[in-house]
Amino acid sequence: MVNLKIETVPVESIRPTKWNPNSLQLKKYNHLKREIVRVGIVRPIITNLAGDIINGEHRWRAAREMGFPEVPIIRLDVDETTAKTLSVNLNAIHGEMDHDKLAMLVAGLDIVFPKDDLMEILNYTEKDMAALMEGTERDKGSLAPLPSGPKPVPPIDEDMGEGACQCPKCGYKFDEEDE
Amino acid sequence: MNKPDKPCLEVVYADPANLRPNSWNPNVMTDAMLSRLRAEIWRVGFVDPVIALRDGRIIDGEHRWKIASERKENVPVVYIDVPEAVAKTLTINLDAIHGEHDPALLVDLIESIGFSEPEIESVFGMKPREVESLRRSLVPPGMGTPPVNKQHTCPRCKHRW
Repeated sequence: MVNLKIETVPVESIRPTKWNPNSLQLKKYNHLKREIVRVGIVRPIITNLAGDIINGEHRWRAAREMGFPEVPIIRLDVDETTAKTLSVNLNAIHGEMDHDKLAMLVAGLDIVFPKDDLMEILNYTEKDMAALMEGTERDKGSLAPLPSGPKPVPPIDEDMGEGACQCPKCGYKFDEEDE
Repeated sequence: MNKPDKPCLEVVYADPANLRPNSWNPNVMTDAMLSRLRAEIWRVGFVDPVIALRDGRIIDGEHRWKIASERKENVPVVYIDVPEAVAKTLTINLDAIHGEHDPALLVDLIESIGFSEPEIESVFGMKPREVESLRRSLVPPGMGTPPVNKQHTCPRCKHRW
């Protein structure tokens, strides 16, 4: 493929496609807006030559909603089929966060940023933060070991039934004739 | 650019030897996903630049860089000037803020392309039965193809499925 080049173009000169299958939860969209205010758009929007957005519709929407006059884009000379396949794959091909590595990284940032600022930047609630830190520190042994002693006895199961069918909601097992 | 106080972004083609993974990246990729990424880069080239600090530490795109290293090919990079702590938050957020595919739109899109099953598998990494189950999940009950399994009602909680 030819060399990529970033252009800064008026927000209104590019547009979403009808076929973008990617949707973003409102919570993440609001996070994206804050992130754009904080650092700008650091990942350019990808479009075809005509300015139809292949990847980055939500960055475009966020910038537009907040009144940014211009956005950075990379134009690709691709046909519609390739544009569609890229739209899917640029979203679908990604890694996952390793829980322990993420927790270590966030713990390190907790020293640099005031805690409230860090939670705002990462869009974490107190609960997210606590859940992230808890497992890891225990795994690493940096907290007091888990209280020893007899393992808690699991509660006695209520009647879970018997049979070839199992309810996906309550877990009750039964035979089809019992329905 | 998008903020008056930020310089324009620019793509530079860098020798992968001049870039390096950062020490903090929490993002891990399965071998299967890495193979898909490799196939995608063979198919369309690099279309999404790596984002890196000026000193060559990668903020986002370590796996794209890895593939460029294997191919001994220059990789497109956007260098940005931010303190290390901000770079770390960007590594997290560039990864965390992404959407999900809407199943109905994804099925429509795949069908509109008109690929054969082997093409769908090679381009999207989806087996025919995965596409079929995606399509089936969209059929409202009582319409279209009848479900293979009969309907059940739980005798205890009356849940229907």
